[in-house]
Amino acid sequence: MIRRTRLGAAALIAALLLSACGGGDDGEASGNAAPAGDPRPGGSLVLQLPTEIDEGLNPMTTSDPSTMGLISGVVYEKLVEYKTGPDVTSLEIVPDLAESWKISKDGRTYTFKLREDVRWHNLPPVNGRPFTSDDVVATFEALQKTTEVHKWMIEPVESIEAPDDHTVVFKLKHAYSPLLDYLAYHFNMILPREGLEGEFDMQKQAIGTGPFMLDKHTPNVEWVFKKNPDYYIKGRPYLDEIRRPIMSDIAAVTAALRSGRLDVGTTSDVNVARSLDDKGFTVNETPGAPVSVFINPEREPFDDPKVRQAFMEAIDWDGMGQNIRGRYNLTSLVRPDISTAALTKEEVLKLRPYSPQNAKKLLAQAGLPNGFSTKLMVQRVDDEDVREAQWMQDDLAKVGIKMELEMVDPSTGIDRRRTHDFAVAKALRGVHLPDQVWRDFEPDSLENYTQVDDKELYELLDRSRTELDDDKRNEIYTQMQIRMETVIRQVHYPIQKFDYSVYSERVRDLYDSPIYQGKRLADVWLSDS
Amino acid sequence: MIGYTLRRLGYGVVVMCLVTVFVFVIMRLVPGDAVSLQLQDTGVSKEAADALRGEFGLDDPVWVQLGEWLAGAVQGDLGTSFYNKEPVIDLFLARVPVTVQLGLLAMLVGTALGLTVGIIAAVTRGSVTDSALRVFAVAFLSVPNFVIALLLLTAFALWFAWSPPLVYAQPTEDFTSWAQQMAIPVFALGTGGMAAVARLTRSSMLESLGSDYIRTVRAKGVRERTVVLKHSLRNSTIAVLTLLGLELATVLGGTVIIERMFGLPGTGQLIYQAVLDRDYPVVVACTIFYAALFVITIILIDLLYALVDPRIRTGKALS
Amino acid sequence: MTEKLTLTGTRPVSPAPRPPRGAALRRGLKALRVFMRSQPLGAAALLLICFFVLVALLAPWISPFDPLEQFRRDILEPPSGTYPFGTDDLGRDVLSRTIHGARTSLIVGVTTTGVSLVLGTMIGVTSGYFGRGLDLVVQRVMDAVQAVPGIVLLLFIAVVLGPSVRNTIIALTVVITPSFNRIARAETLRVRQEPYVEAARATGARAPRILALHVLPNMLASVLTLGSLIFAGVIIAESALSFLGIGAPPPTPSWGLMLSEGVRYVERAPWLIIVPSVALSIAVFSFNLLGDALRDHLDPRLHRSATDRVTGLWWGRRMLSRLAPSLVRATEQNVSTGGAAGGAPRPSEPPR
Repeated sequence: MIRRTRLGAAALIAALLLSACGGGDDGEASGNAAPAGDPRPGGSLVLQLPTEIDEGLNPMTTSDPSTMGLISGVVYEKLVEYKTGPDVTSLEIVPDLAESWKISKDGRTYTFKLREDVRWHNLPPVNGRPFTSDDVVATFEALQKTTEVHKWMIEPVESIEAPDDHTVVFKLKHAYSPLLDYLAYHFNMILPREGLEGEFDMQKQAIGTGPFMLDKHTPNVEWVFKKNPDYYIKGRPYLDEIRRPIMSDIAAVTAALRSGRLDVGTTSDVNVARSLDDKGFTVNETPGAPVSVFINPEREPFDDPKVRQAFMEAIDWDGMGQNIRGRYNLTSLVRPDISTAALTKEEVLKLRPYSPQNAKKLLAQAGLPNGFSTKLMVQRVDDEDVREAQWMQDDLAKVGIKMELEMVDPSTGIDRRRTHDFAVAKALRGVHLPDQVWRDFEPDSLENYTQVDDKELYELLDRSRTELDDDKRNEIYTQMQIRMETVIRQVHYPIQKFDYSVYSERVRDLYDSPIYQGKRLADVWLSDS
Repeated sequence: MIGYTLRRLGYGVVVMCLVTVFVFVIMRLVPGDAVSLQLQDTGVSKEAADALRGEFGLDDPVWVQLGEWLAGAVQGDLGTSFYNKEPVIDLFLARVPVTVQLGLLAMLVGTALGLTVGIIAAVTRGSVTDSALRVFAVAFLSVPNFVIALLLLTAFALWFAWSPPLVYAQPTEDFTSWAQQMAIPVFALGTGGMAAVARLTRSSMLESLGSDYIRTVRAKGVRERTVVLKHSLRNSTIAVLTLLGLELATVLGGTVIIERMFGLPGTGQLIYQAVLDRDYPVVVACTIFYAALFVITIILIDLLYALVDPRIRTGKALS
Repeated sequence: MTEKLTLTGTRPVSPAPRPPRGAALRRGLKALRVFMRSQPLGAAALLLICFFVLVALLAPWISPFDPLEQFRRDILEPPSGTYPFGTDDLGRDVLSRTIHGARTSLIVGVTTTGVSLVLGTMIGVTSGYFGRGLDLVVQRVMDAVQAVPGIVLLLFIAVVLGPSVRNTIIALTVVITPSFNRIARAETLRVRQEPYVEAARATGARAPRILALHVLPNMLASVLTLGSLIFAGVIIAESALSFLGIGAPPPTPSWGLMLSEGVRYVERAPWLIIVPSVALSIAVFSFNLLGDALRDHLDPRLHRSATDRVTGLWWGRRMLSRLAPSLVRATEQNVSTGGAAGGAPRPSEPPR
């Protein structure tokens, strides 16, 4: 009797185990061979949000790029947008709320023709009324009246007029080539007149024209977006709902991806990405922020450009990128994914070679044959930042530079950079467009950490802003980069890191976006809906 | 008794004052402030940044800020978060239940496990089982709780393709989801306490079971179970409650890593993030709240003992 | 010349003969032998601790490689002949880093526990012995320090002073000192009332002498026990701080840091998380065991039973350290007055 029961139990357990294995295999096999099929509507996408948005949703009062990333293109839309899709490899501006535009020959007048079929979300007090040029005017006039946020992006704009309900005219003080890019930038969302006039609280509520509507926000837990049933592009969005849980811990994200509770997660850690890549997930490599290195010429011995040069040439930046970042770009100051003006890897290596021998020679010439001691202030965002600092430390030690690491949290890091209280600082620089990059080095900018003050650079910058021909402008940007790398030598963005989006195989048509382009979520569909 | 109580309350007030001043001063010592943090990556000019600082009152001298805060606090307004402009008191109260749930459940789990281990160890005293159990209990105490949590999380995901829910749900709304989310964190936090409980249970039981008092009770013919439960435990009640209070106060701040890992919106995470963000109103309010909790508990303990022992009341044994 | 008190006056007495040199050492060794025999688990723990201390002291000589050296061609190598515990993500030898990690943990642990113990005891003893105004003020300050939640204090200090081993020690010392203060003060208050102390005072002995000869030796047991338990807690706290990024800065070989760095490689390179976990656990574990054994061995029988009886089934190692003084005081009084706890009155203890 007992024996039979035991045997029975053993058989049962064996059967369960076998079926589990078998079931697993079947699942995997069918998963990988899922029919491509056509996009179909329905389903809920769970997309990780790394940190909570603390500052409210009003683009007029916050400059937090993650806020913009959350709602730009998703809830709100812009005049123009950046193209995304399967074959997009560089920034290309395409129509969004503006279906076409004309720029005057002197570059001082921009005329936008707006779409006529757009309606705001059907939520009070806006109640689904048509979108008009009046809203655009109200948005940019309100921006001009702010003091704290991104109004410098439209600084040369003198006036914004609406000759009729579907036309907007921008008049500028002078030609300003970055304008279209800034209008496509995630900060410049078009807001409804009611919000700007205070009829609803734009901090808490977002009523836009976009494919999704803000449904719910549970603080520090998640954001929920629901499909906009009246969206002007028929058939879009496919998804019924997007849920964005706030998850900051990489182990939790990995576990959630494996269990299927999370559909899309992002990480900057190539090892995590690789380990998931082998398991039926898709990994998208998205160009991310450049690593920034600031050398303060007010601190000895960095007042000598030879020493600054030695510092940069002693470090194997290429190796660092390979070993620590996985996928990376060896860059100068302009990001190759954003602009064709970016210097290529070969060009960069010519200007900034990896040469410890030369570094030692330079140090000797500068009167420091035995090296010196210094400190690196490392702003820690990801663990990779810390590992890179240790890599740098090791390389520098080989030429006699003893560099101690100081880890700081972001708040301390920003403060000390702004007060120039550092010898060398390392962080990530969250800029995209070339004009943004150079803006950092203008005398009145808070982000001019190393107090760059170079007349020739500023002359080039002014010329770039009024140059309307793209190729000529890129030439100017190239010259500026060369000058920064070979003459000024105070700020370097030696490598650009990549971020890895990992998503499960049910998620389809989710393409890269270098700049928080949220509208692509309207094209995403789920294979099991 | 009245005098003693008043004295205790007076001390409590003094301590709270010290804590408040301390918190305000130290926030000024810390480099960086909320404005710099908020405006990074925006290219904003210095004047704009300073204007914003003025709005927050960050450029007033320390005592002015302290005074304003106190004035508000007396009226029940603990300030508004620099970040999301919510009243601090709302932020805090929304999160307290989560951490309290975590702490209480962890204590229960730890106690339950510890009791079991302790009783078995006491009963099998001196044997290999006894030693093995004591080692087992202490082993769990020696691994940091976040490591236990991490290993469990990864193991479940790797072997069973299961992970806890990502989003916190109230136990009253969705009990299954809540239970699934709390399971691993509670266990990880609880195992730490298990060892202490096991240890105390074991020694307490051994002492009790061997003492004269208990021998008398046994001689009277009382059942073994009553001996153990009723007479030995009776003394514990006061201490039990007081320990609970103090434990709670500590737990409220010490669960940061676990909360972040499992997406639990608790007070540990709140205060950790607030310090990093330099969200002064939140930090100040939270610190003072915890401190108040601690002080109140200490006062209650002292009062309880004064009730129990008259000599304490008369101030003979201590000040 | 000392004097002896008699009923009729004082009589000069020649000072007691000084014991032969080395007697203290021999007495210590004997105590140790007794301890090891009566507490086998404690003995094992002590041996483990000695092993750790040895490893930490000899670290530069016994570790096969420099813990900071990056072997860039051997990144994330599994354990092998060259690298018995494998290498980490920067190509550093894990065994060497573990050995040096023992050093870091030991330094942090010993310094923190030692300084807080000395500081806390000094504050508690003086405050408890002299009482009145001094006690009032000092204890309120200590209460204030203890009232601020630990995580806030630790974060503050890490942010203001910057993360480093030294600042971790400072931060943890600030957080822990009040615990030693409480237990020292409570013990002082208890001992202060003992007949032999009153007698010493009556003979005109001055405060420092009384404190040194009578008060301190009688509280040594509780304080040492607490110390070993706190040591274990400090090692864990340091690992948690490193995990959060506010403890020992990279590239310091610290077990906590190694843990946090190894988390992401749980599948690819599990040795990165297993090795520091095990090392950490064994170290903490041996200190915990030692503390338990010390408590069993050193505390007078009824003293402990009263404490244990009252704290009964509820846990709170930390709580015990905080409350122990009040509890001990209260229950001693209960016991001696035949109160709720019920039991024989405790005989006065002559100084050891």
